[in-house]
Amino acid sequence: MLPSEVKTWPPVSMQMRDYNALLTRIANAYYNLGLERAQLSDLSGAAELLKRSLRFDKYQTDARNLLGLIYYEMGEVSEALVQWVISLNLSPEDNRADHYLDEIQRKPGIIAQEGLLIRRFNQALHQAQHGAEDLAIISLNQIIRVKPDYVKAQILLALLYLDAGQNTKAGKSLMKVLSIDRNNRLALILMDEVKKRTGRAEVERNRMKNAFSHRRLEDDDVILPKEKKQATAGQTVMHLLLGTLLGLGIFMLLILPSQRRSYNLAANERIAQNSSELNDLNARYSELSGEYESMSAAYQDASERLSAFEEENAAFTSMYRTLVGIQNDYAAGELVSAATEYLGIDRSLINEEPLTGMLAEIDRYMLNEGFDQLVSMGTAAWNGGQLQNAESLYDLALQINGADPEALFLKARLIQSQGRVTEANAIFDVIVGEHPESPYAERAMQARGY
Amino acid sequence: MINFKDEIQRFKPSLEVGDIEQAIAKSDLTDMNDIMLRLIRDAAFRGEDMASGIDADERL
Repeated sequence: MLPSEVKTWPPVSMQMRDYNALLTRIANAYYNLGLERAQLSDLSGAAELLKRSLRFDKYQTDARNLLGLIYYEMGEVSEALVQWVISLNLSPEDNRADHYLDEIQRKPGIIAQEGLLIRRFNQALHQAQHGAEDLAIISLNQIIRVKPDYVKAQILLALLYLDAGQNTKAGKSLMKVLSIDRNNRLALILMDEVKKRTGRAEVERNRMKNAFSHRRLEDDDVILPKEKKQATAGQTVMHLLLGTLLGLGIFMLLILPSQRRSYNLAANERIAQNSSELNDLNARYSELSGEYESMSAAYQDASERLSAFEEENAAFTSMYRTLVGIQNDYAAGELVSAATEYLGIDRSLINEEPLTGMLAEIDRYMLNEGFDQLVSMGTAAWNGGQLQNAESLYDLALQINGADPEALFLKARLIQSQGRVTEANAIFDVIVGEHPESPYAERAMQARGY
Repeated sequence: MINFKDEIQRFKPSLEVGDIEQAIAKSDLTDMNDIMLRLIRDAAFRGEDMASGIDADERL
């Protein structure tokens, strides 16, 4: 195609301005129609028109806010919140939706309660769609007791009642719906059905016929009064009897069965309600049993860990006391007592601070100064003629350090002086054999008599 | 004659409060204005392409 034949297009912005104005006008017209319907309580009709308005101009804030209000009025709180949040996002400035959201947020319990009711409605719907109509009726009754303007719940309840043949109850729900949303399509259809079943349609038709009848009395019309016949006494008694029988018959045939039926229905509802509560209680019982078992297990575990900790702690405390006792005895000069306790330490139980540090310190002075003092004390006792005490002190010193040739030599000499030559010789042999470099080796050999 | 069972099956669950955020995210906010804008732009591109001999599909 040649360039000259190409159609020239006006700039996009110019075209858009025209279209924008047109679309805004259409959206406004739909909004006005929707507002009119809403003022006449035709909420579902208004909602349709407002949705159309928004299809033409999503920034028609009034239309979106009114749509939210309509959803709120019909009990669909979540849908209302969706519209108001979107509205506020699209037009943050001077937007009435801000006020509506504020109003809801000011009462924090509202959203939680509405959420609960909506969840219960969805559960009831599930029950209704899966063969548990009795339970659904009970749930829906509970919902509309709290929230009578929940249109969807009222219509579903009416459907369930109609299905169960309870036309009056269905009619009551539908009346409520039509008082909120007077042109609700499904509610109108169902109301027609209710009227047909209860004979109300015929009555209304006749009433309408009479109300709009154009037949008027004319001058020539004559009204003839009906002739009244006087009844005899027998006829009166007969009429009375017939009337009584007729009344009894009507009571037996019409009133009694319906009362019995309503009594049965009420009893069934009660049974269904009780079984629902029983199910809830059973579920709660199972849940609590599970919780009890898991808590018992946790308690058992914690108790075992506490016992183990206490045992460990007791061993630690006991060992700590022993080491502190040794330190105190040593500081107080009670060397025999300190040495006896020192030799009784179970080293396998000492494997953490501060016990290991304390033991290292005790080892250091018991193997050096403590040992030397015990040997000196033994020699002093020997010199004082306390031979048995001297031997005990040497034994204690040798238990601390059994490889010390001096202590060995002194003990050997002590028991040699008591005439226990064989025992003494054995110790002399150890000194000579194991410590040949020691000055005590030669002295041991002399004492042995080599 | 109304079939009550069918009517009950047609009911849809109400939007739960917990699903509001998701519902907002999924909302289709396209309006006629957006559609018109797209159409006008497409038409404008097509006009330019025809003038310069470029196939419209090629541009896309």
